[in-house]
Amino acid sequence: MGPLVMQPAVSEDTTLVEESLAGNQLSFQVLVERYQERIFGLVRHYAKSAVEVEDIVQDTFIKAYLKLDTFQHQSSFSTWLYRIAVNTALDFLKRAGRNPVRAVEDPEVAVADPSRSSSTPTTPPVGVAGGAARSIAAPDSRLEREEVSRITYEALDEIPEIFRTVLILREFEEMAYQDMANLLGISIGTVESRLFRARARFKDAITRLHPEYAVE
Amino acid sequence: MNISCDNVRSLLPSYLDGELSEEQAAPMRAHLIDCHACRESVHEGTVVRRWLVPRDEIAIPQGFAARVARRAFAGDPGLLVPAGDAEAQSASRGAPILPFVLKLCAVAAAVLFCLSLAIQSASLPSGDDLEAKDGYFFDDIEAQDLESQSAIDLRSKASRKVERRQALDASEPRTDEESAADGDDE
Repeated sequence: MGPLVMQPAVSEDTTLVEESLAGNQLSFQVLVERYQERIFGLVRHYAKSAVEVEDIVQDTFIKAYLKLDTFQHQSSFSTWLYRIAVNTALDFLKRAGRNPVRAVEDPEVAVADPSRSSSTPTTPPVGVAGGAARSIAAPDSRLEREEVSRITYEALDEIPEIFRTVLILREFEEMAYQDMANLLGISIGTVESRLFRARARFKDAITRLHPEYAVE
Repeated sequence: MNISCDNVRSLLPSYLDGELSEEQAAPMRAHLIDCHACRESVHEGTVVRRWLVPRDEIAIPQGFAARVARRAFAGDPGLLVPAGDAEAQSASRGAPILPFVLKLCAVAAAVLFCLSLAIQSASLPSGDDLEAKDGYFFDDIEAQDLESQSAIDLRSKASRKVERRQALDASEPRTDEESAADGDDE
């Protein structure tokens, strides 16, 4: 899937939103058709089956419709919709009892936020923070893509949801820091620090689940 | 411009994500050419990325958008939306005519009330020749007056009886038993 373009046809989206609010079902259907591929693409990273993905995407759009009158046009419609999709997916995981995030520590603690000191960035070096002291080997070339993907999600399931979400948005959706900051309602510096810790946690999860890939 | 290893490593995630400006990235590249340790850090960052392989895309069901739009406009709260929120929002969205109907009912009720008052006042008798009917509109004061009047009548009746008895006594003599019986009666 291509990178998310955050401002596609803003005026058209706005018009479709207004027409939907006025009771035009077809306009809302056009909005769904326009964004369904991206939302399906995003939600598949949270769910385990196509049926679950479809349920979450459907609920995302229904939630969007129910909250359409609260859309303030301050962000693009796609950013607003992505936010609903992420929240709906996380709600789904919680209800399904599949939220592995039982992190008792504040994920922002112990990581200096670069946004607070732009002149002297203090993000710890790779491989030092986040409890991931061991390095990791690259996936075995003999592994099928599907097998690597299975390990990917196995490790993602092990890390707190806020880290998983920034990894998904950055690595799979190829979103820019600024777009992620807008979507999540956080600063760019926080995006950077979360991403840093997310990668460290992800690497740690893989070396813990699959010690054969750990490099001392 | 030379930068330190600490600076390089702190900027490394942004460098790998392509988030640095050319002004920031150029000295990084220059540093990496000469610094083996920092190149190792870059390598490790790229290795982690190779483990991030997404699932295959999911085919969108035929007619999905039309179905979702239809369900949304039919007031379907979805599977995950809390019922209370959905109903409240659906009601506010799906029934824009409700406030109008409520206002209409309020106006109709006010008109009916005024009309009933007008009909009532028009049906009441009026004029100078009004008379109260017997047994009609009997209040507490009237009842007390009637009771007082009855008491007065009884007392005057008793006094007339006494006067007649005295007149009879004066005309014929009586026995002791008859006198005692009269005393009991009184």
